[in-house]
Amino acid sequence: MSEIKLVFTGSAGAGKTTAISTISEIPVINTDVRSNDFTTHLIRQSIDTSRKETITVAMDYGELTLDDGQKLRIYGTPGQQRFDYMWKILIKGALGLIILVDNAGDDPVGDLARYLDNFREFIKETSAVVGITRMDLSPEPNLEIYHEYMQSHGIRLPIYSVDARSRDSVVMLIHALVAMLEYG
Amino acid sequence: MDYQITTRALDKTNNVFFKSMLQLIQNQLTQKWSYEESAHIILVDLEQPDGIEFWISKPRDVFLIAYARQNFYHAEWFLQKPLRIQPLLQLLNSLAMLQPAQLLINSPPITANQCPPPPKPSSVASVPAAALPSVPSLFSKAMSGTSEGKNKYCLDNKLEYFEPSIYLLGLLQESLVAARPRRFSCLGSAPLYILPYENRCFSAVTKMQQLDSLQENLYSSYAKNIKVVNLTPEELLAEVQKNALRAYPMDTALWLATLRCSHGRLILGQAPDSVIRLKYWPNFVVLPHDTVHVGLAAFMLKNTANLITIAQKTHTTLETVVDFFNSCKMIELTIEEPASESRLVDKKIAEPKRRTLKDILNRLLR
Repeated sequence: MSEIKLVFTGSAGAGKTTAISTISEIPVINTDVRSNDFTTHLIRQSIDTSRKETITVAMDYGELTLDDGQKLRIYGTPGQQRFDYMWKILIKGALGLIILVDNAGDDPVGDLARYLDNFREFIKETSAVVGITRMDLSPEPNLEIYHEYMQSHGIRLPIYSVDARSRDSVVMLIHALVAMLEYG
Repeated sequence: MDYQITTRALDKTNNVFFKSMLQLIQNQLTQKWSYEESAHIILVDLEQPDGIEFWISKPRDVFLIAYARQNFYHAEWFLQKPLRIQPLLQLLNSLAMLQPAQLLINSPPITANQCPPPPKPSSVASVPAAALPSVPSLFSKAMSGTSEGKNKYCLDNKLEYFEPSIYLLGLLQESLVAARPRRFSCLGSAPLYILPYENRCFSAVTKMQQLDSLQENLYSSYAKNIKVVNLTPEELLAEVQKNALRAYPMDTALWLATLRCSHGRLILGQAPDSVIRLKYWPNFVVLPHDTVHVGLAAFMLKNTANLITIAQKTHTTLETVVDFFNSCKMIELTIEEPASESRLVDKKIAEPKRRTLKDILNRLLR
């Protein structure tokens, strides 16, 4: 039996590691490093280190055992574009993709556009779902703006405002993803 | 031969218009037609509650003509709104070609008021649990004995439509149009407050997703059983603060009021054979839903199909599809396309994969 896996991707600080930890039955294994250790100009530009103490440089990994004993492997991609070589490795053979976008980031709609573009082929073949995080801190852009963006690009995917710390939110995203895989 | 015609439930403008148009076309009619207060032949406005009730009551000894924007009752004799000379002329000349017996013109004339009254809904106030609106059939599911016949659905021509105006939903719509802050309450339920200009509503209910049966009452009640109180915005916000009410988008109330009252009946004015898709994904964070609704949303987001096809492809009852569609339509999530635009994504999912997906979901939802 081939590997059963779901992949979380999205912008740095969107909450991928946190989201995986809400559903993983093992402590999330990751390759996070303190963001202070990263002193490159590029990284300083792209994330706000005051609100994220660590960044993922390779991947996150969590697990969930299904009733028949099979393991659902849950991967999180590194958020920063400079690690995008990992994205292709991780997405290969995945059941589906969950994209998380930090609404408090500099250009959240642009972030979504980049991830939709990077995973375009995968999304076309399978499906994806989009979760917008930290809308409580930064209500704009609102969901309508994201809807408009996706509509204008002919993209029809589920999109939610979510709290990456909430298991209910993460389950809701996966529920929508499963429905899209089956019916969408 | 002289023919008499009357109208039922037309508003004043339409009625005046009809009478004057009848005069205008007299010399083009093959027979003489006159408008009377009482007549066998009745033009019924099916976009008005009175007209619908009258139509559903199936009065005897009258000849009914449906008058609406669409012939959603599949009436044999139908006049499309708005009233225009040519269609009216054609209709009346066609009627004049029928045999008198077909037009029942030998029976004693009756006025619409003499017709049997429509069935009245039972009261919610006295026995809340048992007195919720009955569930009439909109569509019938035809299950033939053959395997091919299984899961075939057909439309029942004796349709009963979901008429929002007689439920909480109608009160909400009216309040939104009037932009009036209001409180709605019903025996045993936490009141619902609406603030139209902020597009918000308020309730003591902390989780709309998990309403108990008492809370459900408000959303499934007939309008006549709901107490409505006008408030100023200041009074409303003071009550919100005093009772520590929770804010929800207005869509939550509209959605819930539709989902709980439509009972498998298509919303009034909606053609059963419309081809539909979702404009975008429903925000289930604020829209109370069941698991089945997520599957319907996924199908309707990617496919453009009529309601029967949606039910078949998602292995869902037609009643559930109709309720979901009505609710989506109420919050403007639906797009209707011409029948020729029907598009189904050719998606085949291998059985092992389907099982795996179900296993994942079962594991997570446990």
